[in-house]
Amino acid sequence: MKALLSKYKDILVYYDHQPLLLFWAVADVFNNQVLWTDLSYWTEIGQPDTYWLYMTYLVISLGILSTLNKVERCGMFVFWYLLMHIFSTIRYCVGLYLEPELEFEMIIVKNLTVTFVYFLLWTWIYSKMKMEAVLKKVNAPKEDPDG
Amino acid sequence: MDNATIAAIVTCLITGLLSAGGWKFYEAVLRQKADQRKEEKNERLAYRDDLIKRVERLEDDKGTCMDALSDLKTEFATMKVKVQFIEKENEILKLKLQNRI
Repeated sequence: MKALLSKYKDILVYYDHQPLLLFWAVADVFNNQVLWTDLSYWTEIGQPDTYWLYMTYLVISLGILSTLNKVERCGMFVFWYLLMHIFSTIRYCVGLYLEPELEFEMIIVKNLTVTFVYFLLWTWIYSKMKMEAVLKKVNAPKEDPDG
Repeated sequence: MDNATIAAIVTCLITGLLSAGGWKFYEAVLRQKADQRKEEKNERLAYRDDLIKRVERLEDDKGTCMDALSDLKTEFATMKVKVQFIEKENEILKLKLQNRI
């Protein structure tokens, strides 16, 4: 058990995030509703904003895929993904709070748990990337002002 | 824009600002530590260079001293031989003088 927990810690601290990011971004692009539905579909079900939310996710995922070789720019897109995730979660939570006839349902607990895990995932990826970018910046040789 | 969206936007803004500020602070701390490490390393390198120079100078001095010692040894050997001859000559002269008396 101790070895397993130690392995979990090692995975989180030492392992790289790039393969996960690559597969996630590819899956996210192909799973994006913008590719499979159009604005009229979302307007009909009364959620036109959701279409634009998906559009933003698509742009960010494509941004991640196109800047995977540049850690600082890719980190910026990951940060935007994290912000979008926080935005959706807060909107969902506040929506639930303001719902006058809300009843306890397991599906809400499930949704919040999954969202929290995703939040941890994106925070971990962002921290890793930002740490890499900061260390790269700090350890880069200083430019000589005299040229 | 409904309340949920406004709350979400405000939260995102606060998160973004705090995150940016936090990373800037962390970067400054790391930079300070890196500068300190670099300074210590430079000091160690300067001390090492000084030691190398001193060793080179001492090696040169040692070479000069060895040459001088070698010359002195040669001269000493010559003088020793000369003294031996002089002592023998002195003995002979003493004997000659005794015989004359």
